[in-house]
Amino acid sequence: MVLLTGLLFGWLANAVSPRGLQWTRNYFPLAKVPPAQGEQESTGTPMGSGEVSQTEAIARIQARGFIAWNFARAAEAFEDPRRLTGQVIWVDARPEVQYRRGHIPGASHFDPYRPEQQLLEVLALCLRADQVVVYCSGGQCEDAELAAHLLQQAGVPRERLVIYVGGFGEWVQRGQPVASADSSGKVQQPSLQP
Amino acid sequence: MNASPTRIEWLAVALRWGLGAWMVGMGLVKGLDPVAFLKAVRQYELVSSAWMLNAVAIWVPWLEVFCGLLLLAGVAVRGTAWLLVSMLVPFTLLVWRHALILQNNLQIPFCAVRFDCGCGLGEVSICPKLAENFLLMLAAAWLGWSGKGQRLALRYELLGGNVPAECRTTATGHGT
Repeated sequence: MVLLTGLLFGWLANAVSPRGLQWTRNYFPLAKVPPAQGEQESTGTPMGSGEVSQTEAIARIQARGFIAWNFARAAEAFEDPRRLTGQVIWVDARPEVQYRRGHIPGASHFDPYRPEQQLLEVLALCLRADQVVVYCSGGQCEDAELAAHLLQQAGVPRERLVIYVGGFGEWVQRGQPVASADSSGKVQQPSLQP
Repeated sequence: MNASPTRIEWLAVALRWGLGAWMVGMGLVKGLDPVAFLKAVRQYELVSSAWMLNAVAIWVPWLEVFCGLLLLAGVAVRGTAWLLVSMLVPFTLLVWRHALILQNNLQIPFCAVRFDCGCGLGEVSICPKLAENFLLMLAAAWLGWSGKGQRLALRYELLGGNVPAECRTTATGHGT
């Protein structure tokens, strides 16, 4: 009785919650990538001990058909003047609360688990850009790959999509500039960013 | 007027409230960020279908909140306590198994393993986490087995329902 009532309570709570999950949606559409030969088997977790090397992440990203960028390449793209004209754009695939706390200046927020919220705005920016740099927290985080996959499905050519492997964690660690979202959380145009 | 309850009865009430508050808190953390919990559940490779994974990620947090509220209110305490035990035991075994996999992969001591187990506290050390779960299971099992903790319970004391026979010895005159 307690269990049945609890399950009903859960169903109702999920239905009324603005962050509720959809029952039938596949939130992880990307195929699992087997570890490269000679490497230790990964736990397959998006979060974890933080011991997985960038090499493994790069191998995973490339196996999924995306271009992987290291910090040097990402920093170079950040200095690229085309960033100010929207030809090179940055997409932050982390949860909204983390994006609000701080993100790479000019990055637009795109939550791959709730793509319907920002897809149209981000897609419009991506279709105008020559290069779309997608990042998440780095390490074992696969959200950038998921976001890139969704953008590609929405019509952004795969060759324009690149993934910054180190993610926001490495960006901060390297002492790079960070911006925080305005109180409205509105997607900001890259050209308006410093 | 009710007779003074024994210390053990008050201890049971404190346990009931503590366990209830803990479950509500941890359930809300997960329920309000279901995607993070979904990712955490996925790492255990418990189910292969997306629908099943979503069902676990939707139901478990709110079931915890519901159980916590029942414990706080003192409604269906024994059934709720056993339900918590039945949720905690397999979950603890999963956490333990996953920690063993990580230990094996990373070649580190078992207690040095840290990961986000989906418990609502972010990345945690495995040994304190297992100890915490063991204590929670112990508390829930004791509440379920003993039937104590009926003091200030909505069902028995505040709404005047009948106290189960096994509880009358320690809470004399309690709702009778």
